[in-house]
Amino acid sequence: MSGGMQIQETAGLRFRQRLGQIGAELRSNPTFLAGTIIVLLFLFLAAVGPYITPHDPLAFDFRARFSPPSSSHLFGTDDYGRDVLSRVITGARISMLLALYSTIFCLLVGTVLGLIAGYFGGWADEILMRLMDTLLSIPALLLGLLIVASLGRGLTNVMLAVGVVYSPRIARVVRGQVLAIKEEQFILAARSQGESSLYIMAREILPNVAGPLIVEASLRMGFAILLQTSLSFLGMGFSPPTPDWGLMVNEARYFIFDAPWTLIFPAIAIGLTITGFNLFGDGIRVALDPTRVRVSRGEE
Amino acid sequence: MIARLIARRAINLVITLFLISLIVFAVTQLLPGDVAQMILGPYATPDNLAVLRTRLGLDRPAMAQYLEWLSGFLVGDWGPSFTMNRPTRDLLLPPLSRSLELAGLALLGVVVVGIPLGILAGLKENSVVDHLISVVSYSGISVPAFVAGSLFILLFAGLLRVLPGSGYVPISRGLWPWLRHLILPAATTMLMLLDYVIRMTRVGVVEVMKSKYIRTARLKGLPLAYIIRRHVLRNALLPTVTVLAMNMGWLVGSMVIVEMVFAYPGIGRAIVSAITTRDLPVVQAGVLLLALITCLSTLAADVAYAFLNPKIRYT
Repeated sequence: MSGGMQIQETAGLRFRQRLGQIGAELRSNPTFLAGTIIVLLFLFLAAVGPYITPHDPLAFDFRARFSPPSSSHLFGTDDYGRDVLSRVITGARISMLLALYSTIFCLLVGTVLGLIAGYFGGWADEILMRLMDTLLSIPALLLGLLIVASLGRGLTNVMLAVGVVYSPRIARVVRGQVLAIKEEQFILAARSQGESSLYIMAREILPNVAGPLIVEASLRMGFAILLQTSLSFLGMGFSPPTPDWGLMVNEARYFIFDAPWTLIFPAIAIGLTITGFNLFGDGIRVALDPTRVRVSRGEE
Repeated sequence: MIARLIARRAINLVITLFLISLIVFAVTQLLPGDVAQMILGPYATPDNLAVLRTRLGLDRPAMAQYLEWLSGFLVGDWGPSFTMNRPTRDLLLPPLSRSLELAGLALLGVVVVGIPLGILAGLKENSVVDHLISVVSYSGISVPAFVAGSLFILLFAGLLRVLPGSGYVPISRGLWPWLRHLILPAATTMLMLLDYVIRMTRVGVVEVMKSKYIRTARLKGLPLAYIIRRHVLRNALLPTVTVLAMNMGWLVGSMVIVEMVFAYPGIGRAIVSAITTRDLPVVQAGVLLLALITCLSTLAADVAYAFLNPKIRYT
């Protein structure tokens, strides 16, 4: 009894030490800190956005159409005289919510599918992985477009589309991890003790794949915003007059030479958010596994 | 061994493509809106709608429609487009070749720009140059293609007025007019791959430079330029080149957004406009075609890699 306690305590201690190491590593990583600051800034805007906008993001003002940036409209106004700054601030909420929801969605779906495929192997693995490969061989943006086109626009459907597009990638990561540890002593021990598959997957395997999952999730957020704004840009995300960044860039294209500020500011917001999430995710990746090299790619 | 690898992969390919055809067909069946109504407009009479539905074969069971479509696709008969009075093939193949032109030029640009930068960064690991290259290429992937493309148009077509911001001119009307229209879209497409290629090359160079055979070569007193040419490049570039080949299909599919930004008449744009007009045969054949290209280029890259690198020949 006391022996068991002792083992647990050392394991707990080691875990806390490791957490401390990771924390120290993260604190000394300038790119991670920069990423965190950017992400926090946009999370803050998403949370309080509607209360701090200088103007109503939807209010028309036809006397002030296409005003260049000035003291009353810091980012200028668009073709309906709407304040661009207010629209950019309000847009943060849509993108952040979407990134969060779709990442949670693909984490859930991807983890369950990856666990099943990796743990049971055989036919289940074959069928699930064939299906994942199939989804992966349709270009991400096209798959997203097809899904949104058939379900209709709006937050939930875009979230679903982004989630479905990225789930196979998570499933692959999880499956690979499961295969790597499946034959380890502690899994075999649990199995010979007669533990159920569900218990082994949830209590023995899942904690061991958590690291790569956290890394994957933090990188997925950036990709989710990338895909979501791209869909909106193609007119397949939200309907006007929603202050969505992708939609704003799309609408600004028609006045690009006369009112470049309508394009530049939402563009900066998009680029900055994605950079923030990428830096944040890369920092976590390096801290959790210093031997691995960054290999993220644009639209993966 | 390689024959077995190819056979195994080919079987997987067929299964994958079959599943894609199922998924694509199912999703296009779900698309809201009645095709006949889309074509004839809001004032069509019920009789006319019924006649058109029968003519397009929309009144038959989905399973029959699917089987007929699939068997037609396999023999190259992709049926007529619903909304344009032309065969689907004519609406997809010329755009596909224009997309390949764009992808080819972008790939060439990535090789010409990315590999030297990657080598430079790798040789000067952790120097200011290395960090500078990494920051610049990193910002390239953090900006979505539609943002980068719009900014390019603003800068080069709007402010500087040196390059056209949209459109396409066939090469038969001259090399320069053709190239001028391709530069901005190709540069935007390049950004998506550049960071990846620079990193792969850099890591390859860093690893090779640390190896014993490079140390031996340097201790023998061979000039650095010779070592780089003879030893470093050969070993460091294999993964990069394979990755590029593998990404060809992915690239063609990802150019949808670039084609939309620059109004470039490629296959991505053809598919997107077919989605909006509910031109189902074009959507189905187009997506299946892109998936086929993706799968084939992955397969080709895998096989080439197995040939080139004896360590990876899986059984």
